[in-house]
Amino acid sequence: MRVTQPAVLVGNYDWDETLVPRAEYEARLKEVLAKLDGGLAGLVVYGNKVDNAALAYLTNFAPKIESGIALVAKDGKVRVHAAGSPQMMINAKRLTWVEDVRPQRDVPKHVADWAAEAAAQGPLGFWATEAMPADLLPRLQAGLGDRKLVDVSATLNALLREKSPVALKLSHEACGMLAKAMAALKVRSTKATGREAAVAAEQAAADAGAQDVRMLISLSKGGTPTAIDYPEGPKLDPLLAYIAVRHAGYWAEGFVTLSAAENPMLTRTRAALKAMLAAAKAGTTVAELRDAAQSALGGLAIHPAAHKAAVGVGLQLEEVESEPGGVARLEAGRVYSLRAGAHLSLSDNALLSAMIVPKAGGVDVLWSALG
Amino acid sequence: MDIGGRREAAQRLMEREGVDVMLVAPNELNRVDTVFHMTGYRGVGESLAVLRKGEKPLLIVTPEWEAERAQARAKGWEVRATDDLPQAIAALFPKGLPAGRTATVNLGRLPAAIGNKLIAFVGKDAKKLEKQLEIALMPKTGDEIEHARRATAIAEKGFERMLEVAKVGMAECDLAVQMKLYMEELGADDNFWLMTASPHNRAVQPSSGRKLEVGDIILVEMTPTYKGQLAQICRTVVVGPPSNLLAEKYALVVRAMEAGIRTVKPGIRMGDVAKAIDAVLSAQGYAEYCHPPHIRRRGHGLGHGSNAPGDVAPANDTILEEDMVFVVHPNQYLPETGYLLCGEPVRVIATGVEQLSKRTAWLASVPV
Repeated sequence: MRVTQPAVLVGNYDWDETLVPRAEYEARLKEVLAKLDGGLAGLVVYGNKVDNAALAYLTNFAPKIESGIALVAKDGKVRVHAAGSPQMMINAKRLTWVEDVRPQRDVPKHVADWAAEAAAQGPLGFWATEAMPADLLPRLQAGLGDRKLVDVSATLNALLREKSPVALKLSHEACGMLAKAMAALKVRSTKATGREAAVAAEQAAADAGAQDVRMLISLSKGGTPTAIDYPEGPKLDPLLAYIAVRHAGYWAEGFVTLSAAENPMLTRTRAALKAMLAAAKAGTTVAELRDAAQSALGGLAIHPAAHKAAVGVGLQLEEVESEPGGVARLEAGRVYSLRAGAHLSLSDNALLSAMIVPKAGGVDVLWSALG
Repeated sequence: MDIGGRREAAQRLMEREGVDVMLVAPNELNRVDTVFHMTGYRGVGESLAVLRKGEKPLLIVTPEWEAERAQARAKGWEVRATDDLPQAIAALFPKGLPAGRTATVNLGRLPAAIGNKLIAFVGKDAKKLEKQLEIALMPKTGDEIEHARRATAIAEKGFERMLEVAKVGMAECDLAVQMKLYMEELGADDNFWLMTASPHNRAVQPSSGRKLEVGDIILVEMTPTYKGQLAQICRTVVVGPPSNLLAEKYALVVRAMEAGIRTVKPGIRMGDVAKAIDAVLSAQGYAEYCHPPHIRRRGHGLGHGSNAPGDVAPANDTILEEDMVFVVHPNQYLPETGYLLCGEPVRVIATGVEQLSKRTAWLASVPV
């Protein structure tokens, strides 16, 4: 899901060992090293404030400004470079279990120097998720000269999709925070503008312990949720909203459509989500989910924000899938957001969603717009 | 200049550079959204402003459901919404882009999966006009200046609230989140917010989970945006009563800042503002602290679309012009007290300078 990106990540991203124990990171590091091709001499991991899934998976480090890298040697030694001056490393060190945290000035030079000092001979692996700028890899390769940089993201992204017991627990907790934010939004929206309701939802999520909250709301009555970029805004009914909350790295997301009066669009969308939840289980294909939704929607068009009927949610709001078209089939033990929506015109839309974990014969519902 | 004038300035740049097509992308990671600067629309997904000689300017936004807000914000632009930006560009130019007459801005800053396809489509011969476009679009619009005033007022109110809310035992992050939300209630749409606390700070940093203690010096850079325009105030707060030494040193830093602000007027070099600040501090024996690693700049431009007129730094030769908006912040490390922050947003006017903040920085304290 596309959301507004703040200038700085303001919330608490410090590593909290009570939430993600060191043993979890040690296990992840082992898995990453095991998946690396034997010929690779080390791994460069990139993340930025927009998308830091790979970096956070290994180190808990999410750059609060700009970007950062982790340099992983084959013996398991990890170094992090964080944006900012040497004096700013005090707080940067709080973001990770990694002890070797250094300022980031010139990423290609850091990688080249590390490769010369700490990495064995041979090509290096490179791992990033989707927000890596297009010009980064060529610059890194230029800095390394003859030493090859091999993009191993497709292989390692599989690890992001798997959920350990710790990751599942955090996803559950994130959904609890999402529920509180949604409840606050619903209460406030009956009396206040969409913008005021959004602030109330954000406050509720923060009070519940969320480290980050992203909100999109309708710009006009019944409109598709979008960024809140203007101070003006009326009370809206229907109000469509999207809320994403993050907890110890793990996201939960939800769509709701709030209206005092039932309308056919909302009724059918509710039926569509219900049908999707009834159809969902480990092994259900996305085509089956879409068919279930379309059948309940009748002749209504599926909303563009629900074209992907299921998306994987974890350290990214939309995980990178092995198939280019997105989720193909629900897998047991993963966390998904199921999205149902109908679209007729700019002012006639409905969107609802649910967070689920598929299992044999059904799903565990972590949060649902159906209540 | 208004935002329409900015579009015309970009078109004049194309003429000067001999290009028929210019593709402009944001550089969001560096907090420079050139698309927003040109169109008034700040995306949730990737977007491209497409200028074609003799054609209506076109804004292509992602995802497909983003059309409504893009149309509302990008006045004077044709808007198309898509889930596939490279495909939309390929469809727009079925015969390819004009060889030798195409320019790009920030394509390399787009996410690789999108940026690489666009770069391949554009080809290696396209001119890169990042710097030239920034210069062409530099002047602030009347709306942006007004928005900078509103953002400053929000920042000042935010700071007042912070003095009411901050207390011993509160985590920096919790305070930061409360302030961000309060400023959102006041109309801010984003906030470049740095806040850190320690008895002896070495730098201002993004806030952490550290809890405030008696004797802490809280450093705050509050930078709310109002309709996309940033304004920044820098402040220092003591938890508990300030010492005489701290009060004396803070007064010195404020004097240095005021000297810098007094220097501001059309026709001078930006670097001269930094030098005026350095002169006050150097006269008190702190010359060695007027250089890296202790200080790199004494302020900077303010905007989500552009950092013009750049840093308040001795080497900046930019000549100040009317309506330039920037923050002057000495933000000085002193060995006796640690890093201290004070900073005010200013606008260059015909007669000199307009300070946008109502109250100049003072050494604030919160009771314990």
